[in-house]
Amino acid sequence: MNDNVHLAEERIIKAVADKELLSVAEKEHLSNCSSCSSAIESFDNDLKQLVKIAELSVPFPKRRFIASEKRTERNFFPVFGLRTSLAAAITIIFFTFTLHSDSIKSLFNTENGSYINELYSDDLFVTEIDSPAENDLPLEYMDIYGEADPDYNDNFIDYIFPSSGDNTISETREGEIVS
Amino acid sequence: MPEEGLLSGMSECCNNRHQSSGNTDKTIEEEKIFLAQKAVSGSSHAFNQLADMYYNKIFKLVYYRIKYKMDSEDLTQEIFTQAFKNLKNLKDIEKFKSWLFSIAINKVKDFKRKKQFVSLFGIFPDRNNEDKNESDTEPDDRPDASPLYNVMRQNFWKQFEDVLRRLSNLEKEVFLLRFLDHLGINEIAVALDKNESTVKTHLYRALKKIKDDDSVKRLLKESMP
Repeated sequence: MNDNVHLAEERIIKAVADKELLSVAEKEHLSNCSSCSSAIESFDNDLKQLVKIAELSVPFPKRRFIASEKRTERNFFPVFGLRTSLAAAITIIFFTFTLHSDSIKSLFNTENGSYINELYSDDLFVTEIDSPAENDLPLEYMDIYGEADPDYNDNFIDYIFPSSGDNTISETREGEIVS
Repeated sequence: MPEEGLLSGMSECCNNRHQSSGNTDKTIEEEKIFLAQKAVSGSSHAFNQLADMYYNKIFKLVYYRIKYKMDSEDLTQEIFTQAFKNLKNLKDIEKFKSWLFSIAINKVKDFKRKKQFVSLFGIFPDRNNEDKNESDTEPDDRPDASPLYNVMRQNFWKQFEDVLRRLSNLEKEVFLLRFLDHLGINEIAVALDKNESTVKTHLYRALKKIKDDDSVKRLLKESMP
C-alpha cells in the first residue's frame, strides 16, 4: 500500500472494531502513517471514554451469589416440579384404590338409594303381572273369539239377527208382566 | 451541566473501585479454566469462586441493558443459579465465559419479553413507557455518591440510551458486548450463537452509526472535564 494513500473511513472503523480485520499492507501503512493512526486513535479514545463513563455510572451490586453444596438434579417433571408432581400422583393413586373399595361404595349406597331401588324392582314385578292379566289369552285364541277382528260390530250383527223375545216380554215398573 | 465533568466527578468517588490483581491475564484465565473444571465436576466452592470473579461483570452486563439496580441484582442472581444448575451441560470448559454470558443475554431477553407481556395487559405500569428516557431513579447508595453524581449518572444513561436507539437490536448487542462487556469477536459469536463474520459486520455497522452520530461527541463533551 502506498504511503501517500490513506486508509478510507471504512477501514478506520474496521481497525477500531478489530485490528485483525486489516490486511498486512494496511497494518504496515498504519505503522508509518501518523494521520491514519491518529484518526483511529481519536475514534478509539472517544469510545474508551464513553465506556469508562458507562462503567463508572453502574451502581454497586449489594448481593453476592452463594451456591449451595447440594446441586439440584434435573427434574423428571419439568412442568410442575417434583413435589407437585409427586403429590398429584399420590392423590390419583389414593382415589383410584379407595373408590373401588367396598367401604367407599357403601358410603354412596345410602338408605334413600336402596328405597328407590326397591320401588323400581316392585314396578318391574307389577308390569310382569299386569301383562298376562290384560291379555289373558294368547293371540291365536283371539281370532276364534273374534276379539282380534277390528271390524266386528255387535250392533250390526244384532240388527241383522235380532235376538228373540226381547219385545214380547217386558217387565213393568210395578213388576207386572205385560204381553 | 455542572462545571465539573461527569468523568472527573465519578473518578473521585470511585478511586478504589477496580483493584488490580497483580497476576497476568494468562494466569487468571488458566485459573478460571481450572475452577470451571472443578465446578463442572461438582465443586460448589469452585463455582462460588468463579461467581465472585464474574459477578460484577454479569451485573454490569444486565445493568447496561435494563438500567434498574434492583432488577439487575435479581437477574444476576438468577443467572448464576441457572448456570450452577446447568453446569453439566457445559461441553467446552474453555468457553465458560461465553457460555455464562450467553445465559445472561438470554435471561435479559426473557426479562424484557416478560415485562412487555405484563405491560401489555396493564397489570403493572411499564416504567419504560411511564418515563421513556428515565433510567434508574434509585440513587446509588455508595457513601461517597453525591446527589450531583446521581443526577449526572441518570443524565448520562438517558443520553446513552438515545445513542443506542439508533442501532438495530443485533448491532446494539454486538456493540455492548464488544466495548462495554469487553468480549472478543469469537466470544461474542459463541455468546450470540452467530458466526464471526456476522458479528464483524454488525459491529462495523454499529461503529459507523456511532461515528456519524454527533450526539456521541456531545455526550462526551458534556461528561468530560
